[in-house]
Amino acid sequence: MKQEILLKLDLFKKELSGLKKDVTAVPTERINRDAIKRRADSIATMWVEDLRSPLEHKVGLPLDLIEKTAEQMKQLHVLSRPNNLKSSYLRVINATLKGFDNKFVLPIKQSAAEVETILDLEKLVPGMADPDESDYLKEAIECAEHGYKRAAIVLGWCSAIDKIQKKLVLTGLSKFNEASTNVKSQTSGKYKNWKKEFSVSSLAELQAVFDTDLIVVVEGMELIDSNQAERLRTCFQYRNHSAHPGQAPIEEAHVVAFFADVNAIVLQNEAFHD
Amino acid sequence: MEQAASTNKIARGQIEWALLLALRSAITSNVFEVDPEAVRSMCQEKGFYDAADFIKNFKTPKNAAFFQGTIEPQGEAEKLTSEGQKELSNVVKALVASGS
Repeated sequence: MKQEILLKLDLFKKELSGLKKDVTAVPTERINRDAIKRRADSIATMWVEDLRSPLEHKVGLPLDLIEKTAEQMKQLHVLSRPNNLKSSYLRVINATLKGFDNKFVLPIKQSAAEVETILDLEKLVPGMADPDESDYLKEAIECAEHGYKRAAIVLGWCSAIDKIQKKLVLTGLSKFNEASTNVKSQTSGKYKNWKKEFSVSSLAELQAVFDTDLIVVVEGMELIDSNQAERLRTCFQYRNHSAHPGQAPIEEAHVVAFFADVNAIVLQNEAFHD
Repeated sequence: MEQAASTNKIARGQIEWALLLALRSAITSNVFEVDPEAVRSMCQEKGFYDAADFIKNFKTPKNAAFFQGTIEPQGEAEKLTSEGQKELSNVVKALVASGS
C-alpha cells in the first residue's frame, strides 16, 4: 500500500510537471487549448479520486497540507474551464510542486511501518463477492487479511473452480460433455490441437477434470470469452506459483490483481449465477 | 460507525458521514458546513464511496434539503439547513443508541 501511494504521487508530480511545460509553451496570455484543459482537469480528478483519501487517512499527512492542496486542486479544476489566464495556471501548479518531495514523499518514506498492514480484499477489490456465499472465499479473504498471500490465492482459486463446477452441474453435465466434443473436433483456431473429450456424469467426476481443461470447455460453452479464458489461465499460474515452491514473487499487487480478475470473471459473472 | 458497507447502504452512509463532518466543522470552526471533497475522502476511506453516484446522491430531493446550497464536485463547502441539523441529531442519537 505504501508503495502504491508513492507510485501515485510520482504520477501526480509527473503530470503536474508535464502540465507546467504545456502551459509555459503557450505563447498567448490565456489558455484555450482543449488538451491542456483536459490535462488540468484530469490532474484535479486524480487528486480527489486517488490521492487525497489515502494521504489524509492512511498516511496521516497534516490536515493543513491536505486542505491547502485540495484548495489548489479546486482552483485547477476551475481553471480547466475556457479562457483562463496562463499566469493563474502557473501560480497553482508552482504552489503544488513547491517542495513536493518534502511535503508528500518524505513523510511516507520515513514512516517505519507500512501504511496499511491489513490486506483488505473487500475494500481493495470493487464489488467483491459476498464471502458468506463460499467457505473457500471466506478463508481466502481471512488469509489475505493475515498476510498469508499464497494461501489466499490457492483458496481464491478453489472458490472460482467451485463456482464453475456448481454452475456446470446445474446446467447439466451433458452440455459440458457436448462442448468438450465440439472443441475437440475443431480443426482450426487455437484449440485445434486440444484432443480431449469428457463423459462426466457426476460432480465427483467433474472434479477430476484438470482446471486448464475446465477453462477450455467453459470457453467452448461460451460462459467466458477468449480474453477471459486467457486471464483465468494467468490466475491459475498465480495459483500454481503459490502452491508450488519457486522464486516467482507473490506480493500484495499479485493478490489484488488475482482477486480482481477471479471476482469479475467468475465470482460476480452473471454467466455463473444460479 | 460501521465500515465496509453493503451496496444498498452506501448512499445513506455517505450522507451520514457528510452530516458528521458538518458536526466536526461546527466543533472546530463554529459553522455546520460540509466540504464535498472532505466527504469524498472520508467515504473512500470508510467504504461508503460510489464514484458514479457520489454527487447525484447529494442532489436527491430528500438529501438536497439538508444543505443550503447545491453540492458540486470540487465545489464550495455548504452549510446545513435546519432540516440537515435535525437529521444530524437523528444520526448522532442512532449512533449513541447502537453504541458505535
